[in-house]
Amino acid sequence: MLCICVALHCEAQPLIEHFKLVKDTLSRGQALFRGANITLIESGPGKIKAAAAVTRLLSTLQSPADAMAINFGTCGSAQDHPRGEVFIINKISDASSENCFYPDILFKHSLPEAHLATFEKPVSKQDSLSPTIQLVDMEASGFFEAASIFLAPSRIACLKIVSDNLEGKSISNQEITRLVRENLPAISKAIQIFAEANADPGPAKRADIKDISRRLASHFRLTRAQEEILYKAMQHFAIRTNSDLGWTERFLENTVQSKPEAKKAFTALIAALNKTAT
Amino acid sequence: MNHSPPNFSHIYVEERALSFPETTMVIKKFGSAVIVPIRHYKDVFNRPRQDRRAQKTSPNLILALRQNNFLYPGSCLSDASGNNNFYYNSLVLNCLYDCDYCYLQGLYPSANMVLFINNNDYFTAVLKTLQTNSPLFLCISYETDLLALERIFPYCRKWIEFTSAHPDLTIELRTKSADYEAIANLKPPPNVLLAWTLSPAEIIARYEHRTPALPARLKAVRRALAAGWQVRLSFDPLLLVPQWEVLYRDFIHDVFKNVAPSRIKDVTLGVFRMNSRFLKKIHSQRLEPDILYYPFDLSKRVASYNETHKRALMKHIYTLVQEYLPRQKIHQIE
Repeated sequence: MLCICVALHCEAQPLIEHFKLVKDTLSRGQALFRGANITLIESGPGKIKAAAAVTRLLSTLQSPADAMAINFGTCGSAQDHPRGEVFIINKISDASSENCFYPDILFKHSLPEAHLATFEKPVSKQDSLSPTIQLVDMEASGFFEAASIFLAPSRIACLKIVSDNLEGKSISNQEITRLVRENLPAISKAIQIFAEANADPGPAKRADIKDISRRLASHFRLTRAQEEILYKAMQHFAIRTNSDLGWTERFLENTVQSKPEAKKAFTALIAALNKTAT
Repeated sequence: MNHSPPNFSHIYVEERALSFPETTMVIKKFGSAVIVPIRHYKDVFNRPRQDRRAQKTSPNLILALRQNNFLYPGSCLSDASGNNNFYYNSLVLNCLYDCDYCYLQGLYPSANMVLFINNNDYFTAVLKTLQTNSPLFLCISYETDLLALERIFPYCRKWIEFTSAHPDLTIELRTKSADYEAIANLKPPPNVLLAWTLSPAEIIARYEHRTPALPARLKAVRRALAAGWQVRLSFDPLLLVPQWEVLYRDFIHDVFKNVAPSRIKDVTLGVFRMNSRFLKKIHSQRLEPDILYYPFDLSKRVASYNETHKRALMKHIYTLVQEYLPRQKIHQIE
């Protein structure tokens, strides 16, 4: 599952159209748009709202560690980058806490990278910014810190498009949508590359082993801890021998009447799984 | 054999290390890398929930300054080879290679490589230790492979030159690299030990990813011996794989067909063993390879094969090596 977190609807609109996302009308609060394996949330401006939005998305997933999260939005450039230039962020510093966050950029891409600082309120050129800061926004640090609770840093990305050079002028919603739409090929390509690079989920419990171990556990009335030991022994056996575990089903033929008998059967099963040949 | 370093896409540099000439030297070698200044290497290296396996596909470099812990007393799982003042240091965290059985996977939270570029501070620490603990035996390539990194940072060269001026210091440089050429023009001091870790070709191909093949390593050993270096061979870890008896028999004969036994300083043998905490961590990260899923025995927080298998493996290899070397030159690591 790819979770896209965007502050404003005018920034999100071109992505919603591109990925053919449909609004989840049952959802309350921050607007949600869903598609095949993509969910986009409009957080509203500010790092607290961004943190809340990504937490909301990731905490409802069955295995959040296998998801990916990307923060997309406009930013100001402290170094006069042209409007519409798209960046992948390699360092996010939080202007208030001075904490720094580093997404792992393990995928090959052709976009420029930059250091972005997140502020709690809009900043302008008159504010004396550190010369190392290239871009500024109001969401990235909150988004990243919250997403990091669930995900590996290689599964979190920040993608920003320059909307202004901190002149302190306001930009219309239509202008922002136009800017995003004009640069959609670069933006959607970066999102796609990021998603493909992280498509492989981490180690997961094998459904077939889980099924047999659950049946054996139920048959022998094993405790939760014993079931976990059994699952691990079965998993290790399968990896070590590269063979299936169908033979363990014959243990289901043994009927047990008492706890000591169940324990005996469990011990025999574990011993059979741990048997090795030299 | 191509000894060129991998193409690091990002180099994270501690702000205080930015002005060091060593930093400039390393960065120059990776012209297309993105440089990211950081406050402390741990801000990147110790991030929570890093995906080591994903990082290993595209590892990045971190250049840092070590501030303390320049020397550590040797671990009970390592090979002291009868040396009392046995120490190791960590000039680099992590390794360019990707061996499936490597404990670094469980030791470090990241697969990125940290290079401590303040090498001279390590020399100062050694000199200070030598005043109270002399002679000193120091493993400098303990949690990494320095010779494999020599084209990126010439640690081996600098340490060999330093050691040649201090006869009461002996260093061991353990490696799987075949890049002997990187140090070939140095005069071999008697107190520098080059230790090559060798494994059967089938094990290298299957479990020691990105490492040089056995013939390349043997060629490097031959060249080092011909130039007069002290060479140790390390058959460690010995692995319980299918057909292990035949595999190791052919391997040992092959090694000593290629390398004159009389020229070898000694051989160390060690059966696979790993801190059980590290193994548990590796199991949580990856559901392969098969060799890490043996039903290991746990004793004193160390996971290894059961006693029967351990003894059979060690006895077999020891007997084979004994055909070529006297007992006093064969060290078994318990």
